Amino acid sequence: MASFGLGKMSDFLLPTLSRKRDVDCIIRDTLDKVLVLRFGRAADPLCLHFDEILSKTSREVSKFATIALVDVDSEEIQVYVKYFDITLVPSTVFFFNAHHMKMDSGTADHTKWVGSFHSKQDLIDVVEAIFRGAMKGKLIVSCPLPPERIPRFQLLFKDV
Amino acid sequence: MQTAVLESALPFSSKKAMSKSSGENGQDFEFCEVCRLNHDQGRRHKYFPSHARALAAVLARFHGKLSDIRFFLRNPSSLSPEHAVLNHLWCLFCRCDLRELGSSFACSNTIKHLASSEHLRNLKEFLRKHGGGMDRVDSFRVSEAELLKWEKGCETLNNATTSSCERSIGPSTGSSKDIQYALTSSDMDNFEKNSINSFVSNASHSVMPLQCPTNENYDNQHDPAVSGSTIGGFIPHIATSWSVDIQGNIGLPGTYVFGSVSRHLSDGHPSCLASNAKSLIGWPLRNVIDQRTDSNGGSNEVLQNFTPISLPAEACQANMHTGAPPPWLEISEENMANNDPNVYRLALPSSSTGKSRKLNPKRVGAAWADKRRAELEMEKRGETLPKSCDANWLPNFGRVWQAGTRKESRKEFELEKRKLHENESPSGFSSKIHPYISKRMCVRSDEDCVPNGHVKENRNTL
Repeated sequence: MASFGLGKMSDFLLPTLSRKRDVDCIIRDTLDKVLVLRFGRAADPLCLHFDEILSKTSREVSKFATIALVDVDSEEIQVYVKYFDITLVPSTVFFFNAHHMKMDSGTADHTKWVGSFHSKQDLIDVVEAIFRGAMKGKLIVSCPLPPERIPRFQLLFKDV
Repeated sequence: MQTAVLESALPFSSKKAMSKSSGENGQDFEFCEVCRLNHDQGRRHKYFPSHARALAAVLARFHGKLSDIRFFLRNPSSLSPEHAVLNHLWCLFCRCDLRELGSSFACSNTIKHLASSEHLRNLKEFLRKHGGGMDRVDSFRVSEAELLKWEKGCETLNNATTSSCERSIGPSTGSSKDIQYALTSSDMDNFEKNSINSFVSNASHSVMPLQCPTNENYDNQHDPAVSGSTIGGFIPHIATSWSVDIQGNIGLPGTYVFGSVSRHLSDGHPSCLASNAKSLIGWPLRNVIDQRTDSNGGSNEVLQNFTPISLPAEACQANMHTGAPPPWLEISEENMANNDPNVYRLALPSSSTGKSRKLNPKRVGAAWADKRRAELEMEKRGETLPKSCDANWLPNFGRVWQAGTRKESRKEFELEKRKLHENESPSGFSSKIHPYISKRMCVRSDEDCVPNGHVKENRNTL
């Protein structure tokens, strides 16, 4: 059963998924819209900040994107954590018509967005870029944000 | 030092306009109503060119308003209550608002005020104070002679309306003659220009409720003067010419009058109204009178120029008089009924027909989206799907450290998962991955080295 996570000042509820079946359903049933899956924890401060931005932005992007939160601590979700190589939270994976969308943001990992966003507009720009690329048939798009607004992280190969 | 404020008895000098402080000229500041400014020029102010210009503009504006009132002074006409609310005039000299509430004739209250002695007194005071010449007094007031004339006209109008209401249906030559007399007594030249109010007043009082059908089967016996077919063709012409006349000459919205015309045409007696309309438009009255006084056949001379409109029999059954809906509404209702499913389909965000047409067929996962949409529709209809979602289903994902297609990365992951499960079987071998330790690190700790050179594995778990 998906629970709903409520941001502090959000006016739109985001579904929090803790079962693999729910994640499968949302990936399969989100058609012709970008699916934004945030993998993180509700207690993590950076995740909270990111959730705030997501909930505030959900309405603006509702016409071309669907946002959902995934709890990384859930047991059923671990298969996705391993499959998506999620080592840092929050990590956001994008899908379009059940196809994984990559974004080249100049970081080492193009398969997901690691970290939060500086503002709502940054998130909207990123989601819009992914949507536009997907509508053109591209599986990987360039990040529209300037480098200073892209969070940096170190990618370790298997904890090394 | 406080200066005493002079309270003028004149109504047009406001008390708040008087300033208490004295100006540079040593005189008190006064507010000029014409120029709308405070000045300390005293009586010299009215000779200044700016004041003269402002005064000329103000008087010209008021004179224009009075010209409209003078028309009704020459042509008395009755005023309907709904128009009475709209009519009002601001008297510049008396500084009062003149409203026509409760008056039965157009501009009645205004005309009476302009003829009053109080207005004359205020007018003289205004011209004396602000200049403009005392010879223009008569142009801003109504003389007693004009007032008497107007009152006679009103009286005649009252008599005419009461007499016309008492008459029976049919071409009332008497009423037309009375109206003709009322019209000839006033200025006939203005009929072409401003005949709306007169027409309305005459129509409202002289038209009787329709008691005979006005279709093509109208029996001539009921109306010996005019035949029904000619009437049918006559009325539209009158209405058309009337509206054109209004819009061309007067500039007032012809819709209201046209509406009143149509209303009276439907309710009133056509022949009677037609005669009145004809006379008011300014057509030569002689023609109308001659037709009225002639025999019954002679009255058809003018009416024969028009083409009668023959209505189909079906049209008589359902029309605006019977309360039937107009044909364009019926068509739109049919269209709404036919188009409802389509509209509903388009309104659905997940509708396949609407979205598939708009979306790029080359977009990512287009085939998957169409297939999945079809499956969802089947599920909605209640049909069972041949393949249900597998619990081990995973989307194609381009993993970070893998090369190759996404399908291969998914297979690789599934292989790893299978191996992991096998390794967690009773063998109990822990498959923890340890970090790489270089030879140098091993050289540093020579004590740990085995004499044959093999490096002892450091089992530091992370």
